[in-house]
Amino acid sequence: MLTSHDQPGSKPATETQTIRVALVGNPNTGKTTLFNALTGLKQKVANYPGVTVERKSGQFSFEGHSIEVIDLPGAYSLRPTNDVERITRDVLLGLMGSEKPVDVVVVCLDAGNLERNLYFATQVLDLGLPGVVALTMNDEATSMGQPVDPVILEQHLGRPVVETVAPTYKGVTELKRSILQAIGREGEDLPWSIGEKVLHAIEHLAVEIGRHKPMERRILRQIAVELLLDRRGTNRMIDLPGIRELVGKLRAELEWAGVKWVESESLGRYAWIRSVIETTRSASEEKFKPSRSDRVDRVLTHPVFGLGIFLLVMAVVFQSIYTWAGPFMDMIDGLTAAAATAVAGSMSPGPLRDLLTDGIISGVGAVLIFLPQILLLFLFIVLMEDSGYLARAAFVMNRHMRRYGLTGHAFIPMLSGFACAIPAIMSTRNISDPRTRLATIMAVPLTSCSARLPVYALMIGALIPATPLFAGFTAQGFVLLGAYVFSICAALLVARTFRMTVLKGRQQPFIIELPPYRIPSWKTVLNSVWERGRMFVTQAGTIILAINIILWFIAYFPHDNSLQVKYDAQRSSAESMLSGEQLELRMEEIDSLQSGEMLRGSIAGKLGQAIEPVIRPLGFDWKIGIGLLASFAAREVFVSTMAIVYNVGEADETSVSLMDAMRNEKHASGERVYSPLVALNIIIFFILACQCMGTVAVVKRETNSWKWPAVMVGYMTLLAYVSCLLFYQIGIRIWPGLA
Amino acid sequence: MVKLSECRSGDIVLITEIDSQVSGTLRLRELGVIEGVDLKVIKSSNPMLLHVNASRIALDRELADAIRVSRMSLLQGEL
Ligand SMILES: Nc1nc2c(ncn2[C@@H]2O[C@H](COP(=O)(O)OP(=O)(O)O)[C@@H](O)[C@H]2O)c(=O)[nH]1
Ligand SMILES: [Mg+2]
Repeated sequence: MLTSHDQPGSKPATETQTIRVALVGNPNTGKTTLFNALTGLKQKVANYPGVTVERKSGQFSFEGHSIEVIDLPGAYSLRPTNDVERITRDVLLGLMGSEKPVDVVVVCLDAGNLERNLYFATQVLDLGLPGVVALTMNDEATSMGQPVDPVILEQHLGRPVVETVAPTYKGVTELKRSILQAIGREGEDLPWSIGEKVLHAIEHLAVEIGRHKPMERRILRQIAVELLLDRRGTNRMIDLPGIRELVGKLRAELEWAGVKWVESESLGRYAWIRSVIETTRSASEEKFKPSRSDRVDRVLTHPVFGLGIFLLVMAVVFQSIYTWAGPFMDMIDGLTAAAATAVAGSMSPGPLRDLLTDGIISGVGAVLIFLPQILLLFLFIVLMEDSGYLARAAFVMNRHMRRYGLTGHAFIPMLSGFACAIPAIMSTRNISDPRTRLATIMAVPLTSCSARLPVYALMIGALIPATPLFAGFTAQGFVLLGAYVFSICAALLVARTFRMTVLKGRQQPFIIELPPYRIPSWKTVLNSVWERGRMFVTQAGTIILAINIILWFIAYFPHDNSLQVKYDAQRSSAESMLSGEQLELRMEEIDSLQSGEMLRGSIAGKLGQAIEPVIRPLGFDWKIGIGLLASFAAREVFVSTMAIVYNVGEADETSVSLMDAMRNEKHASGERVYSPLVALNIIIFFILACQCMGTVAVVKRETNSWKWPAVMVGYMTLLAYVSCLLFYQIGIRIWPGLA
Repeated sequence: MVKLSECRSGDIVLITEIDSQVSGTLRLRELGVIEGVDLKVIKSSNPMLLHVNASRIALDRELADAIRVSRMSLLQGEL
């Protein structure tokens, strides 16, 4: 658009320097797949369910050069409507202080959707950075009878165009070569026109901005275009002295002259794009021919069938998480027990051995056992995301989300929340309306994240019978599904409450693209699942392990040796009086009496007893209290805490599993501690309470204040306590049989 | 000329005017919903689903109120 030939080319990077390459493009253009193919790193396709929000970079070497690739978030325009697109703009325009300038920008163009893809591409190429165009999905376009000719495209764009099919590595080497050749070569200006009067105003504004902030000329012009034409106003440059006034004046002048300046960029770019398209692709005989995706969408986006299918999919997902994970969980259980036995056998008795077997091995094992279920859940979310189904779910759910003051966009973070609230809260950056976004952030921690799954699994496995209900569903699967349904209802109601009170305001319009359905490549899917699983295990190995060790200490000390002596005396008297099975039973009883008394005297026991009066009305005893205290920082710690509290995983054949220990637990009065009602109440507590330091931290970071994390912790704690109180107190009156 | 929100599923229409004062229309423009472009209404539900160029774009009906269109030849619309 804007002609400039006075800019000297930047110096080519020398061989010792790392060349920085930014990968950009519209969402769903195959960017991440290409990123993986280029860097070969074990990287995830989508960092988090929903959107690629984290800065992702990878390295590769080619012909002696070291090249760093950054996978920037997908964007429809350089004029952002949300925080994700803002990141892309800021990196490309050099407005992000932490990022060094890029040497080459690689623009992904989806051959199946050239018009729209070229809009963003021309914006990026207008920046004048050395650029290479990667033409993706041309295999798909060809099979649909609409191949794009890269040679003709290259002539129009004035940059090398390389056809790539990243899933099969086609064109990847050529792309690497083109990147190297592009270094230092600024692209020609594209010959599109924004109109003389608007161009004049842009030049004027660019000069003014440049006086305050000297920058590369073409970058200045792009900033000027944005400040002048985009009334959404997300660029801080407007605050430079005198700029806001100048923008107002220039707009008024254009208005006066009858120039449609708001429309000028889109009309100008698309007019040129249309002329390019006409030469690269033969006109199709039937323009609006329904595609295969359209035919599928007739059912999947149907207001009734679409919703029904979505609910059915969710039901099957949760039932399969329960049934398929079983064998793997048994395997991990066996391995943990074997490890504890091996360690116990090779060490002499004492606190260190107890720490290793009871504290570390059984604690970590108790968390790792849920890895199969968590991987399955991630697998389903990644499959929905990569196939394109997630956008349809957002489309179908929009109507329903509107009732709670949210949009379909909020559905994606909510669904991601089922995996983990932290990435889900980060993915709310995709929501452009600030109030909707805040309400979503407040509600997401209520969606049932995978860290809660271990707690559900333990409670359901131990205390809910596997009574068959119907069509292969059992009472256990039903309670699990119920926990998820309850959590989504709670989240929606909370969002609505926030939108009707502190976050009142008009709803921004909802716009979403439905990408074509694609069969996800198993390689990228497994890669994503693997990365997410690794994150979980790393956590289990660090935070959870640390909390476990601390817990073990406070549950072990002060270690009263006189108790040991007392119970040893009971053991020897039992040995002299009993034999066989009777002896074994008596020994088990003595073991459990001893560990109970020791725990009561420990620091943890004292803490649990201190809060018992508060949680007693919820049906919780002081041992559960220890678990609740311990899981304040991270929910999954609950299971391993209970393993420590009940002293299971001890390395001998007589040790009972945690579930059995809980089933057999009695109050002093002889009543069972864990009734189905208490199990359900623990599940409710874990759904509603804010027990995750990571979530608090990410809310602080995303809202840039302590106010919202404080509001979140406050309302969640209150909600959890009151709900559990009501549920238990009403429950024991209505279903005394369950208490 | 009618509002896009008044169109029925299957209609093929030409965009004649977009009210730029309505928030959200700039994003639609960036996605290719601009004057002089023809589109097909796939679903007239709320949200509406449009076929524009090669994209399938869903948008609120309120937003579709801001877009004026003229129906293309009836014959095509019936297809
Ligand atoms: N047919 C075909 N599919 C591709 C190509 N590149 C990527 N895909 C698939 O397109 C989908 C979206 O790719 P992804 O890399 O996640 O896109 P992103 O959103 O731009 O990062 C995935 O299912 C990929 O397997 C390509 O060149 N041809
Ligand atoms: Mg991606």
